[in-house]
Amino acid sequence: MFELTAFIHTFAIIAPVGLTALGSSYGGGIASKSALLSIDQQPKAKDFIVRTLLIGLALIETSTIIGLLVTFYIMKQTSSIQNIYQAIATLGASLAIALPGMVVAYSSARALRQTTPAIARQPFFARKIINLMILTQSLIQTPVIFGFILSMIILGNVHLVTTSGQAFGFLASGLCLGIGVMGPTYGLGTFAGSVCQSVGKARHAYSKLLTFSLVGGAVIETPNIFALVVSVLIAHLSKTPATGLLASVVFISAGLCTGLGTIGAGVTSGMIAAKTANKIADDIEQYGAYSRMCMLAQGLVDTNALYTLIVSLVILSK
Amino acid sequence: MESSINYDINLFKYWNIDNPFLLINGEIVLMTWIVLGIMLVTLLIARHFLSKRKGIGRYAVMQIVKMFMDTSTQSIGRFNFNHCTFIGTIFLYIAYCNLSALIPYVIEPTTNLNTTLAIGLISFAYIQLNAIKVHGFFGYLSDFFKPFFLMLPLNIIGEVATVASISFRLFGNIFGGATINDIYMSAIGGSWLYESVAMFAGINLIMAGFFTIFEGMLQALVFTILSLTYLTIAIQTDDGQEQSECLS
Repeated sequence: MFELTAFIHTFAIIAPVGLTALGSSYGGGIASKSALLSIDQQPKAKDFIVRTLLIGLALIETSTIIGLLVTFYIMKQTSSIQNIYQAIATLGASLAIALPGMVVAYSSARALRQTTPAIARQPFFARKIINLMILTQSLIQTPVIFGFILSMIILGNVHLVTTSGQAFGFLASGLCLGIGVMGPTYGLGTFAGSVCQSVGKARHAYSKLLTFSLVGGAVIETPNIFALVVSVLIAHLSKTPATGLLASVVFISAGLCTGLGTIGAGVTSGMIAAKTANKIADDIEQYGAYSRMCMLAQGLVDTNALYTLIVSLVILSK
Repeated sequence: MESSINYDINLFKYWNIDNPFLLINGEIVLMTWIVLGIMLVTLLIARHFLSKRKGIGRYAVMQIVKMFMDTSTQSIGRFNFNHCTFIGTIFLYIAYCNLSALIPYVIEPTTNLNTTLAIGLISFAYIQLNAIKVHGFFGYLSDFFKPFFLMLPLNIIGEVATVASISFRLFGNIFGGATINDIYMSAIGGSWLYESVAMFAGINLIMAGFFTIFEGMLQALVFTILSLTYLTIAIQTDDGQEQSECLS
């Protein structure tokens, strides 16, 4: 194997497990610290807090386990890598799981971090708070599943890669999903933490906040779906051999356009929803007005991500 | 895990249809039937305990059933026999599938994507049918046009993503755990020294305990709670919300 090819392929092997382990260990650390502080605050709720911490940490570890799985898959393909283009395409598959996994692990730890103080405040309401935490964490973890599916698609098509256009197409596809889900996932982490904290403040708002977390989470996750659409489209277009430097430039620019465009929309949309969840906990009577206002603001923010999606689609259709 | 024998069954061989999409994985079907057989045996034992007047077995069975009833009642807000049995069935089936790796020569059916996707689709269909039953057909359709009508394709993709996310989460976790256990077994295998140290120091127990028992039960719980929450949201009406608040 040529040296640069070996270098790129080795980086592709270590990236999924390394970056996801980084995110989940840092997140697990801050969540455990918060759990210890909550036990200090309310020692009688110790059993519930420890159980919540165990469930939450196991959920955070999901992204590391899936990253490890992709690492094994890429390691198995080592002998079948023939040229540098296939190594670059493999790097795309590895980045598609590594970057989302890192941010997802950190963001789902932010939900767990606010859940344990909420249980310390409301020990008799612990079971419903745990349910809410599992729901919000699973909403956050959707990008890891997207990344896993995309990695499998790319790894299944690596043997077709013969030109530079295809190689950079698969790399752009992985980068688009990897960068594109970072912002919305971070926003979802802010939102989930705020929802769990609000239930700790006002438990009567539970059923309203449950509905609101599903609806608000779906709107925050809309940019994720834009990124997924563009990356799957790029991966589909890269299956047929494209010649020339122009093809790779087109793929990279289309991927980065949507990938970078969703960051701001996701982060701010999450901040809006987080503030709204706090307000709902303060004043449950005004739920309708708050949620309608939040929907409107989030819709307007998401429109900006929609423009980047349109531009990417226009670039790719040429 | 890696076997050279081909277990695929083609039901359409007679008509010369050779599509990989239509192949049936014979090994996983066999494992599923083994798991179903174990479930049947346990259910018969539970029935035997229930037929007695008293005893610790009867108490244990009643507690487990009561746990499912409490979980579904607390989440939905009122007791519904169909929802309770649905939740119990899904939890028990996934838990039995995940724990079946403790039996020698049996691999978990949940390490195959087809099984988890099937469970996800069953849960999805049950939720959508109940939503149609509660809201009516047109009320159900109008939910797709909220917040505004441009969101229709995104709402549909969101529903499909729900199925994909719950099935792939179960598959990824169980398959990842099984892969790690396989690599661990192949690492210590072949040397009697390593094997005896791993057995007597309790490392085997820790690996099986974490990756099979803890992870398997946790993923079954997560799948059940997520299905129950999606069901609660789907069949929620305005007066239903008040009821669940009163219970809390």
